[in-house]
Amino acid sequence: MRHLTLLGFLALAAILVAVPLASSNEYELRLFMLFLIYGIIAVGLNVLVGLTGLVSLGQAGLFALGSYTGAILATRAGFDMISASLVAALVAGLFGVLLAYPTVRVRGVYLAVVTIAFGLIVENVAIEWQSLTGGTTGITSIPSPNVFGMRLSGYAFYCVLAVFLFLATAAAHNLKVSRYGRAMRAVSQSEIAARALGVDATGLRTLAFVAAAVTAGLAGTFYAFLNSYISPDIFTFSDSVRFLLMVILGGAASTFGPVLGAYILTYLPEYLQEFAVWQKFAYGALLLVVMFVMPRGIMGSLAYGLKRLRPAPRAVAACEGLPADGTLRREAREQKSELVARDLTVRFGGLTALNKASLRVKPGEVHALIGPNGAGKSTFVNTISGFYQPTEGAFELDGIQLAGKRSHEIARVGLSRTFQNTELFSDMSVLENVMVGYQQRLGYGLVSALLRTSDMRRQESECRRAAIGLLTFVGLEDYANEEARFLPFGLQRRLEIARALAARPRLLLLDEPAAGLTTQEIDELEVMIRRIAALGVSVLLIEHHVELIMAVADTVTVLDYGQVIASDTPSVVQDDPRVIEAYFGTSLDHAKAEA
Amino acid sequence: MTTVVQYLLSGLAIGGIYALVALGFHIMWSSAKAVNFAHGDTLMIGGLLAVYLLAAGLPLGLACLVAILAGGLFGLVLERVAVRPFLGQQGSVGWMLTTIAVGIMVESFATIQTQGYARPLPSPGIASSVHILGAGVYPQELVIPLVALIAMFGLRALQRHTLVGRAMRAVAHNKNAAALMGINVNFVVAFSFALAGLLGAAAGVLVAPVVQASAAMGVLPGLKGFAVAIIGGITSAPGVVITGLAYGVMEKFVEGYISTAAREIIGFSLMILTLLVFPQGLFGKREVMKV
Amino acid sequence: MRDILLDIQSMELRYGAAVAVRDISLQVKRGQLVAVIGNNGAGKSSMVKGATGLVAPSGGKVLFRGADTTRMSANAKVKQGLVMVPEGRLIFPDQSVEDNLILGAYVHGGLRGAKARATREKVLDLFPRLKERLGQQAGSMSGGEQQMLAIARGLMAEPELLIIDELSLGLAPKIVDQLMGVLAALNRAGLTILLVEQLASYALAIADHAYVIANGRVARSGPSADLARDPEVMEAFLGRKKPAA
Repeated sequence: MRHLTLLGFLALAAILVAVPLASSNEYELRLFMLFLIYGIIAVGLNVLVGLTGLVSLGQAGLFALGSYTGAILATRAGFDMISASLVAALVAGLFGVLLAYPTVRVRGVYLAVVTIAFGLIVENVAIEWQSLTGGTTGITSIPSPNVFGMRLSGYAFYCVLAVFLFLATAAAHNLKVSRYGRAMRAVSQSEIAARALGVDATGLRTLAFVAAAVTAGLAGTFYAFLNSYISPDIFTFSDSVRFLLMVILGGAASTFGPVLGAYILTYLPEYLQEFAVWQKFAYGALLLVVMFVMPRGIMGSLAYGLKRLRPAPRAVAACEGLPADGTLRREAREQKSELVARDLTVRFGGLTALNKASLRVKPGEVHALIGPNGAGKSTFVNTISGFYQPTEGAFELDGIQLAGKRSHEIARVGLSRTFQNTELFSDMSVLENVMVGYQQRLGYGLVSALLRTSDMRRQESECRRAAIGLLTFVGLEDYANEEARFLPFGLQRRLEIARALAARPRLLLLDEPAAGLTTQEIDELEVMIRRIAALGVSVLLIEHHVELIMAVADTVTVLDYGQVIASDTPSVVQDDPRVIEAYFGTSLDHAKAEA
Repeated sequence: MTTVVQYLLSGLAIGGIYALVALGFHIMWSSAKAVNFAHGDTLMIGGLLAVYLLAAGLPLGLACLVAILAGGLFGLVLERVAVRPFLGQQGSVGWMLTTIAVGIMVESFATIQTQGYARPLPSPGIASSVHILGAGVYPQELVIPLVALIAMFGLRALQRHTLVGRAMRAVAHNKNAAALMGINVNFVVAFSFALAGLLGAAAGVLVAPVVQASAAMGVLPGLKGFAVAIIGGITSAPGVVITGLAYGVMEKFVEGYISTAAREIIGFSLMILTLLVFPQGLFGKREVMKV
Repeated sequence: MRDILLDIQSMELRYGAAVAVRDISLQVKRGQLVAVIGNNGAGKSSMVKGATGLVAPSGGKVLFRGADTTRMSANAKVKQGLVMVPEGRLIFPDQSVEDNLILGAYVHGGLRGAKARATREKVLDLFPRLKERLGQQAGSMSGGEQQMLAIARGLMAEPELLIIDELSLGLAPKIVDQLMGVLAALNRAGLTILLVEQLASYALAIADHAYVIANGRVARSGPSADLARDPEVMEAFLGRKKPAA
């Protein structure tokens, strides 16, 4: 795949160089330049829609913001094109941050409606604020493109646009293959799991919105200079739909998809000249066709087809990996970790799910938490990992207070978990899943990611090798390049464990890891838990499987009706009459008497 | 004073339209947790079809009735074709994009057919205007908010006293629980979308005499109807109706004292603000997220 | 030879890649009270979801009253007489007790017929607590009252076979005892019941026949009296042997 991407960039560069030489007139060149501008928008929008999975139908609003800012600066303040576009990008970027804020509260449809409303608000502000924007007449007589006082010829302007598109595509690609892109895709596929691995979902979504906004802002200014004239009716809801369609048709999340989509949708109106009235109809029909027939878009479908025809090797050489105990083992001077929960109480409305539950996981031990259905185990687990907030009580890991912290903060302190209903990043490969787990330990910044510095590449390589090592540890090295959703169930469970370990946790929280496993797989799980504990990681295990608990647990705590009713070694707990009653109903003798 | 009454009365009229549209969104969302984003176009279907049928020779009453039924059919077909295939996926917006796509297609088709012109729909309600406290309104305009209120009470009666209405409430709460009662969930969802379509087309037929029927007549009301549903709380029928009426009145005042553009700015900003502060809407219920 | 109402043959059920039910076969004869016990995650509730049509089984057959109903939808099965009181009760909290009962009788057209009204009388006699609270919002009742409502609602559908999934969830032992008594009485009066239950001793106490599910399969089956005395069954639950009596 990497070679194909390189080829793609070479082809793109070649096309960009060849077009001005081959085009016969000014009009053709201008049309191609329009495509370049739309391409920049689509590439930025792809980061938001394709990577992060947030559907935005307000891109025209950001485009308008950029356009008007650039045009106003050029006509009123005499800015040249480059400085105007940079300020426009900044202004648009700020609005991008603003637009990201609603994602804290709302997703999916509601977010899309917020973006639609945003687009409409911008359009109407442009109409209303006549003194600034010229109202419905718009802004005319935008000067010809100039840089630092020098007027740009048609070809020079073309070069600027071509370079920006090329750089934007390259930057988006670098973002996609960096830890940021991986984390964005993770958040899009399972926000819960991403948060539990220390990923700051809100921060990433803001970044995605800013990327989409900045590119739209730049493109907006370029458009103003290309057209010499802008007005509110250029930036309507239909245009937002068109931009979204460029991304979806081309192939969301692919590198070149948005460029392809922009090309098709720039030239489509040309081919539909005679049928100009049917243009809008065509957009609707095209969107419908893509949704039903080609949801992956053109590039996505091609990539999928290619994978089916010539599948890449699934396995990865184990020798490539770093040994897992190096990745996991705590420093000799570091203590093993202790988790203490004190009087944890959680109430949902009128229901008390946890009632003054106290528990202590001793350093380095395997601690099992059991109890009948509805006893409060899930509530406990979700509270400890930060998904629920406790109503009363507190809990700490190695003395660090965790109550009140959110899930990704708790993950960064050193608590990793797996989920009862596996929360894998299903469209990512097995290896990528584990690499997301390693996320917290990667230190390179955004600039390094965009520029693909050697530091970034070194850290990525280390991350990859550590992930391979962990896959070997759980026995999944043969599936490294397989898409996670195709894994058989028992192996999916193992992947979750490997992924949780990649964060080098102090304490590993396993939520019903044996559910759905065959007897053989449970035996293998037992061995794995022992090996993890041997490496110095404390383990808290929520389980029902009695044989597994007896085999691995040092201490067993029993919950019933939200309260701790017993906490001792497995053999003692087994004989505790209260535990028997909680599980079995009544004491055996009672049952016998009734029979 | 006359101006105030004028704005109030015509505000209630347009508010009644928003209320009817929002009521449709409430019904669809309750049963399927999904809506038809081409719902605004049911107004257009109602209005334009009534105009065409009238021109074809049908009496006004029959033309309106057929147009309203056509709206119901539109809702029914759209649910089956564009919404249901995309319902399973959790958090997906697939149905949003497909219904937007259909909406675009329907609107542009209608634009081509009408060549962008608006057509009048004659109705006894606009034959002459009445004067209330010095303000002039058409009786047609006074009827609209009344119809919205009747629809709201009618829906409540349906849900409290008929079996199908009870089934709708059951499906709205939990599809599995409803199925275990013997309720055919797919049928109830289809019925909900058809009912919403009927309400939308009825709104179109009611408002067409006042603003004239055109291809684009439903676009903004559709969007604003959804905004109203969000502000009022899409889970509450009285909530969306009251909010719709209030929103219409707000619009007329802003439009009158400032401008049309300002009205859109204020209206949509209100929607965004409400979503941030009260995600469930002013009258809606909180939906708990389970991990 | 009493006729077999429910016949599950080698059911397999998956949720995506996860196999919840590997191979379960069981039968419920008319007039029986059959218990299905086993640990959490063993596959009991999944099996029942497959039997009632909430989830489509990926393998095997489900025969009800002799007809193949494997692919039949849940609401169609209710019409056939296969009624379930689901795990978590799933009552309609915003509606009154009376409204919930009417919904229970949905397949018979609500409370219109004389037969339905007679059933309602019988059901309310069985649960006097509900009779006192007909107008109360179901969501404001206690857990035990909600469970009573769920059972009453199931009875309103006039089932041939009533399945009860995890009755005891979140309920105090005293109430579980009381409700088990009601179920036993219903069975003695002729209602066929399939009871899926976590608290094995309660279920075994009132059942004729029982199945023990483990790892998605039937581990043991037989008359409940035998299973209640069996040390292996105890071990399956708590990993310990029952002390010699």
